[in-house]
Amino acid sequence: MLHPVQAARTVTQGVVVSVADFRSFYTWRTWSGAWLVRIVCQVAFYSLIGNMVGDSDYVIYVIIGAAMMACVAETLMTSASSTWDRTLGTLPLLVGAPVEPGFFYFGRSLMWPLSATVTTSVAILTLSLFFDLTWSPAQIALLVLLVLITSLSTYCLALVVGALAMIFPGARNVISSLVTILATCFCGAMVPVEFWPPAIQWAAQAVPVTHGLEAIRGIEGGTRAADILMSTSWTVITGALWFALSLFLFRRNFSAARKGTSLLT
Amino acid sequence: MTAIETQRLTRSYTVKGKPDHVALDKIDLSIPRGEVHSLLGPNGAGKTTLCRILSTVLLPTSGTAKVLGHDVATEPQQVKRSLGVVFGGDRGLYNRLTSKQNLDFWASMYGLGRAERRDRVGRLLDRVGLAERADEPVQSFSRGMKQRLHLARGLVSSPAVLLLDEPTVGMDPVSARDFRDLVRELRSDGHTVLMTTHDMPEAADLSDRVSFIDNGALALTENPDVIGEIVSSKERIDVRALPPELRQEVIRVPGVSTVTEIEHGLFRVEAEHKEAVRGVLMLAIEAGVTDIARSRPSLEEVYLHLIGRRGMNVAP
Repeated sequence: MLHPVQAARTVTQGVVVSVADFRSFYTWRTWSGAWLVRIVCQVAFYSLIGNMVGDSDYVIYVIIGAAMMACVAETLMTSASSTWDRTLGTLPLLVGAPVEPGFFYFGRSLMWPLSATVTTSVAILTLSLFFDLTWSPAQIALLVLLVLITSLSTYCLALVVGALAMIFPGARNVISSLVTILATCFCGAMVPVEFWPPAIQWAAQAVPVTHGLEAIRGIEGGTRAADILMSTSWTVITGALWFALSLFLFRRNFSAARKGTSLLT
Repeated sequence: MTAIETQRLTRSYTVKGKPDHVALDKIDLSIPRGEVHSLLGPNGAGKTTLCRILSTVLLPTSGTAKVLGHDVATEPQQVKRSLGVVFGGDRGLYNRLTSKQNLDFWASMYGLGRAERRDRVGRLLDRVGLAERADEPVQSFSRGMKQRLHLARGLVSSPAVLLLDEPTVGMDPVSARDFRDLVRELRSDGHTVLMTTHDMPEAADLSDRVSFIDNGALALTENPDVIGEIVSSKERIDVRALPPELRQEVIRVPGVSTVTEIEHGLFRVEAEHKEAVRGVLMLAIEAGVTDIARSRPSLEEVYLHLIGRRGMNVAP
């Protein structure tokens, strides 16, 4: 069992790598002037479609749904970044070091959920200005907090996807796109979860963003605090379960690597 | 105490539709603590596979491998903490991090606290001559600089045993000389070093013992000073500018077996005993030939004798 201090050190070093990678992709200007604008435009596109096919309530439903799906998509970039150690040649060294791989990989891609929290929050608040959606300062604070919680919980799911992508690096983008599409269809982004057959509804409960969306819409719609708290709790619980699974899978990947799979080549 | 010990260590790979490929075949190797041991062999001989098994990156198919008494298969955590690994090539570094961040990363992974990390990282960067480039991203480094950083990374946990897989590949001669000094320092500090290399003079210069490996099997393990005697028990003298008439006289000296021109103007005389050597030396000096050297089979000759002249072909 890993000591908590060592676990924290491992995560921290993962974050150092993560930040260095992120800085090589974006400067503040390119992130805010290109990536953020792209996400806001994407959410605006879906919102306009919502405006054409539904009433004002549906537009608000779509703004939040589309923004959260952008959050899911960005967070799932973890699928790609979890394979980068194979390319760098650092994977054999990690396998040979006294490292708990799941903690390292938790830090390794943390830039994605943090960036996604900002882009999603900005997208919702920006689009709100154009579609008569008002938020009080307290609601804005809660909104950002819930986006962060949902983003981190989704990140835990993304780590499981990343652990699978390590085994099939050529399919990393296909896997993450597939998960994004499934989440967009079945987790209440554009149509309520209740629209789908019961089996799909049950499956959707395992995905953190299903509960995160409920909580965020609850804040916007003035739902009882207890209900929002319940949805938030489920977001955290499902995220924790995915995280536990990711710890197991990364450890399993490292064990499999020692047996001589193609993971280290 | 034995630092590294393998018994009937075997590693084979299953290839679909083909017979299993045996990368290591029943290797028995024992390296005492404090020894610098070089592993020599052609590409594909099994050197890296052995390093990977010893560093817990790969499991053996059968047999055992122990590092400081800990089994690599059943006690990997204990092995990992006592072992430093440097794999060859310029991969294996976080290129977007600085050299200081790279070392700090691995020091942290090996459980060092912040103050200890700061101190050790600084000393190691200084030791490998990268202190002035400590805050530059590794992606701007030359291959030789990356190789030096790899060495520092392997030492960051102060391991009792160090595995170096072709550590001087890509290094310039000055850096390679510094590396050899570093290995000597490690030996005097009591570290055990197992090194794979293609550089025969380096292996002869640094190693207490060398092992030759080919097709996954150990061909020979011996001290480099005496290893030449195994392939040739003859006395050898190299004489430059030996006139034809003197050559005939030398051949007639009792005990001289051959006189061969090994390169333009340089003749190698092989003699059965020291008395014959004396006779040859007397003849040469009386004739005014003074460019004479006694020689032993070099490690490279031994290598070619044991491994054969395979050229660019790798092991099957």
